[in-house]
Amino acid sequence: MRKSLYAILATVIVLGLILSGCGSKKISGTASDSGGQPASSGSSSPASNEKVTLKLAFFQGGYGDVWFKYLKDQFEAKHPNVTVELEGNPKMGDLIVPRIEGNTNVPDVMFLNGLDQMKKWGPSGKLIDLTDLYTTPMPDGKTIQDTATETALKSQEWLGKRYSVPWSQSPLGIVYNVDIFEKNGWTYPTTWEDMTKLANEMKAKGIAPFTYPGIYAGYLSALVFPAYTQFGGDEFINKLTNPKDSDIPGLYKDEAFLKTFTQLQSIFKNGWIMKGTQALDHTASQMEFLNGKAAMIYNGAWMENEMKKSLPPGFRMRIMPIPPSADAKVKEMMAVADSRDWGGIPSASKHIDVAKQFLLLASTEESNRKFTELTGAPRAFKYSIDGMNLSDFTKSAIEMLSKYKTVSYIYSPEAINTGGATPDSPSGVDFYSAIASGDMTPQQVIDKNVKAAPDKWKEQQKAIAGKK
Amino acid sequence: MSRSGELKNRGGNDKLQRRIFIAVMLAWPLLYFAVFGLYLQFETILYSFQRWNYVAGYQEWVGLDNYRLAIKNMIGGSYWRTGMTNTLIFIPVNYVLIALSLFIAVVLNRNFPFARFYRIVYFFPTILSIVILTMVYQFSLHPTNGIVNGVLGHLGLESWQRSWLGERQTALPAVIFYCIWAGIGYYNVMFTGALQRIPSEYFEVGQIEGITFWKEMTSIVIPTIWPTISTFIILGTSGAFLVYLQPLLLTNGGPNHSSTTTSLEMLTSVLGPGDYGTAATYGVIFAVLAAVVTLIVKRLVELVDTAEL
Repeated sequence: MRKSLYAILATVIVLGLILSGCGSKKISGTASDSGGQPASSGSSSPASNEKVTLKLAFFQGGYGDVWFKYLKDQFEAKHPNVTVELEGNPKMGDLIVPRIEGNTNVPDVMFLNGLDQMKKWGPSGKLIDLTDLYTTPMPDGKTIQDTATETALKSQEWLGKRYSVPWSQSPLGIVYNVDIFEKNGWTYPTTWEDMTKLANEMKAKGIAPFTYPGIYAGYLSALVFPAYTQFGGDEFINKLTNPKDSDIPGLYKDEAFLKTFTQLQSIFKNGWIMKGTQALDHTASQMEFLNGKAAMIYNGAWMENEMKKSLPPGFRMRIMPIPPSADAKVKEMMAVADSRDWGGIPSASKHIDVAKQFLLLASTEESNRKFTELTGAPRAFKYSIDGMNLSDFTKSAIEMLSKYKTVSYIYSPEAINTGGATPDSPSGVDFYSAIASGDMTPQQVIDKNVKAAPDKWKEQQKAIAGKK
Repeated sequence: MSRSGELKNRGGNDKLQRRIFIAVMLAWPLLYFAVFGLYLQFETILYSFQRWNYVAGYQEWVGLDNYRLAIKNMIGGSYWRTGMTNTLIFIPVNYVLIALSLFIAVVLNRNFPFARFYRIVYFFPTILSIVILTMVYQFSLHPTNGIVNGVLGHLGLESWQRSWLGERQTALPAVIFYCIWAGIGYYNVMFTGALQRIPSEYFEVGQIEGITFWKEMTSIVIPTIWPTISTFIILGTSGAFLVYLQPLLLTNGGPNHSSTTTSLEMLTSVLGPGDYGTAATYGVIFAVLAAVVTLIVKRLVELVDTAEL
């Protein structure tokens, strides 16, 4: 009796191991299969009367889900046999990772934020190569190659291939409360020195000059990225995004870093940040701003849409670029205009051709205009906004992109890539948080980076050599 | 023929059915354990010797490189070290939680007015989702609109007002306080259950002899329910190594990773840059550490004898 029980136990354990082994084999098999055929034409062709359900997973952040609902209607009207199933989630970026990497419950098409995942899944065969799609005519006859912005084209390329199509152009800057400014006779400053004066004046009046989503320090890129170009000029940016062997570790000693970090430190040290900001998430800090508790907030063009339900009636705000400091190399107002979110098709998609059609429809001028109209944010395409009914805030965002210099840093594969929100930190120090909390001085961050850079650089080059 | 005789005749058949029944009942949990227990642990250990090659798009074997870097980071000071310190702090925190819950359970076990009502009050947080609980807690600690700062203001203690979850000195204590507040209900129910199994004569004898509350605690309550207490002490020790959701939802580990834990750092390194190798390496290191600590605590707990009921 006991013997046979052990036999059953053993069988079950062995069976379990075999089954789980099968699972992992299947995953790696699929990955290498699709990796081997870059220009995969898809496994299913949409026969006109075959019923197809296209599963679309998307990051439901500041842009909400209105645009996807619009696309669903448009696409279903054009393809009567297709039903688009929408799945939006503010945490989609996290939720999708195990689904894509474990090949379970994979959507047919997805829109996500952050290029890190595209860069990881593209070369490992988890995403369909979309290079050809860029030259395929869209329903309106144009191509993505011709209509996407230059930043978008550069951002959505990885190792010579395109695994994604651009989504939004996300401008980051300083959003200010127009009423507070007008009531006090203030105007938005054009130099950092004027900003300093203004912020001190605000402080003296008992108005907090700035706030930002304190627990997500990445929002401080709104200040840091423009400052890199302002203090370092194009030469520094070239070195930063496309470094040579001889630039390491000298690059990380560049005075542009010290000046940028010092400027970042100053907004905290001078007491310009609203008290309590460090404990707030994006919604809470934006709410404080809407309640007039702070005059300005480091934020993006999606903020109005994100806070649509909480906007006080008649609330007026505008988004503006970062004013240059007197000792800047490039004395221009600048804003961040990244194209860091994307749409793509997982290799395990069941309807690759339909998904491609969907991405093409999503990139037409008509869809771009609708996106701006519905979300108030620009897409990473060149298109006209004439005759559209836009809020003052959206107009200011579009003006910021067209009237002022914008920056977006696209790193070469050789560059030290520490991922996440702070890519320029070979030591792995989250310098936004470290400087914001006062735990480290700018010089300490730089010393740490300079020390860590050579090893990190060697590691990165070794990784690339493995590829070649 | 009698009923028992009929059953006896089918004895051989019964035996087979019995075996099939046992096999079927065991198959699912064993399969589950084999896949989600053994196989995943095995994969984690393999991952700890690999690193994701960002450029080539595959996992490559790097030998002990991950371990070398991990140990360097833990000695040289990094977010991982802060995480480790904080994780170890959660062990005594769990003990305090157990002690407090036991104390409250004993007090509520005495039949005083509204005892049942208070038991519900203490248990209430346990039935709510942690996401809702953390939100409520965050609102109450909100720097400008929160009730805590509001009450302090009314009492004229403006200098005590602060951004509780946003300052280095108070962020981790605030997370710890949350864990205790939200955890009491669960332990309380468990201890109440254990207390109700103590024969009431024990307490009556105590009352006749006129012993104090503390004497009752140390001579009656703790010795008789020691198996329950010791189980929770062991679970609390190993559970400290798994804390991540509370700091993630309350402070996102901030400010500047000062309220982070090792589990939270593992989570962020997987979800952010997709660094499975590093996360798995720390996972293995802390699993070993947790096993050693838990084993020591288990041995210590076993030294105490349980009173016979």
